[in-house]
Amino acid sequence: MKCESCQEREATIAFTRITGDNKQVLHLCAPCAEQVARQEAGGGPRKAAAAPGKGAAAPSPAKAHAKAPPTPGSVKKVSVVVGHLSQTESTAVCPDCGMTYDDFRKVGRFGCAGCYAAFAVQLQRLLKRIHGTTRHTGKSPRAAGVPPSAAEEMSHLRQELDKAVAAEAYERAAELRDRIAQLQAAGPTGEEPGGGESART
Amino acid sequence: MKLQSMIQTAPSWLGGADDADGIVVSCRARLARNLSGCRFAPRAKAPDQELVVAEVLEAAKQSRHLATASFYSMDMLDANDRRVLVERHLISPALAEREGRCGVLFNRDESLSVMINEEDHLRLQAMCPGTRAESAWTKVSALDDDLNGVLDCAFDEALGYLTACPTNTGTGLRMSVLIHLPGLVLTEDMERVLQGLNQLSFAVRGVYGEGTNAAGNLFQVSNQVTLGRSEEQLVEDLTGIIRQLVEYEREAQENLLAEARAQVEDKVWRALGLLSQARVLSSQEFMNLLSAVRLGVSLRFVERIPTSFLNHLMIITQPSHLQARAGAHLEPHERDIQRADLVRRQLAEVVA
Repeated sequence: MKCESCQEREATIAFTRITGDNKQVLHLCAPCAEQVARQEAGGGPRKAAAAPGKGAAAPSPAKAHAKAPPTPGSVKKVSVVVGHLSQTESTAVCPDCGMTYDDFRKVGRFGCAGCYAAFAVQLQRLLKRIHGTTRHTGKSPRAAGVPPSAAEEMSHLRQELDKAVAAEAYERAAELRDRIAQLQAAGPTGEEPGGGESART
Repeated sequence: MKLQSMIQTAPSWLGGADDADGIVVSCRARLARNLSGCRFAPRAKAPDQELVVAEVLEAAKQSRHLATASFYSMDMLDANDRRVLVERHLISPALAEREGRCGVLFNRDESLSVMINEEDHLRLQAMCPGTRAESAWTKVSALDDDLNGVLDCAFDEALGYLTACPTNTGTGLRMSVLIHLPGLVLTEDMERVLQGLNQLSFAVRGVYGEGTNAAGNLFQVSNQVTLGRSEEQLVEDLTGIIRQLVEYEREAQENLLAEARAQVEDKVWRALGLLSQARVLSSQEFMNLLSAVRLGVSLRFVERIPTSFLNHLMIITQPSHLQARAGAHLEPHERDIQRADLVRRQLAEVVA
């Protein structure tokens, strides 16, 4: 993704500006971000921000400033958050179809099932925002009638336990904990050793 | 024009819903699935698309749920036929516009369909009349089981079914209801209801899905969350929403009657009068009049017209259905005349 200010260099920084109730996110390259941040922090001459801007249509900082109230007295509280898009996040590439995370952000559709693994880190945030969770609790392609594997049952019980604890349903939580303990005693569940049981109970 | 015979009949899911005063038109369950190892449809190349179609058709042959199904490849249909399928809710507007190898498979009564190479490789859909959300889910799930037994679907233990768009990830299930809410619109309570639905993560759209207007006070309400809730929970969620919307609508209708019974009655009978006599009917005017008559049926002012008839009328008066019936392209003003003519003749038969 190109820097929204200079339209030349790659954007590596997500620059969030909060003015009153308005939130604006700009994807900037490091030099432009530095310039904008300096102005925001020091309240420097606002015109300077227009310098790197090229295209009038781009949501450049200059344009954002144009909307700001003209007199200093009426300027609402401005807070600035600068977050780096790490190199690995913005340029991650799916090895199966060649899609980058930036491509995905533009079209909103994945290229193949492999993208889910390639963008796993970014997806955690995205799915949480869309669905409020990152854990499937429904049907699986397993042929109908085949009982769930011990690992699947364990995973299901743990989710139920989390819910019970969150709902402060301690009797139910105790039952679930006992069932988990039984399953663990019964044999290997396909989980990695030391998978954090103690932390969960 | 391949769908000539189809336009004479009504899909089974428009069979009417007498269990809730005709307020709930139909329920739909839709599942998104993809084949692992093939690029998702938006990035698929021609050989991928061919492979997906071949595999799905092969798997479909083995499902008894699709025993009466026929496959329609989009490249074999002209633009009007594609629109006929959209108007019958068998395909999405997006599939009708899509290039490359794609199509739809649906059974004779049109209650079950599979879009191939839409946004996802497979979009399974079951439609049921009235409030039967659970039946729609059971039906689509049974087809899903059959296809999953043969196809290798992209699935992750943690994230569930992997879909082209992250808004479908997990169950891939979108449960929706088509519901008629004239009372809430007339009492100006709809805005508040829309806000409430939004807060509950339910989306509200028009009759033909994304980006369409709520013509004739018909709203399509569907879940937005597909991950982290089981399919059964999603079905229950929608069922609860339907129950509540029907309750609100009945309340609004009762209030209208209490405050302005004569005016409401007048609105209904005038609408029926216009539909029975008009010589030119635009699509929008028709939908508004149809809504008023439907309200009359809900309130039992009008007793000789079943809701199934109104549902059928709504489909066969759509632009592409009218063109298919005429066997020619019609300009909008010509369609308005044909529409009025068809409505008049159909109503004469049912009211006679």
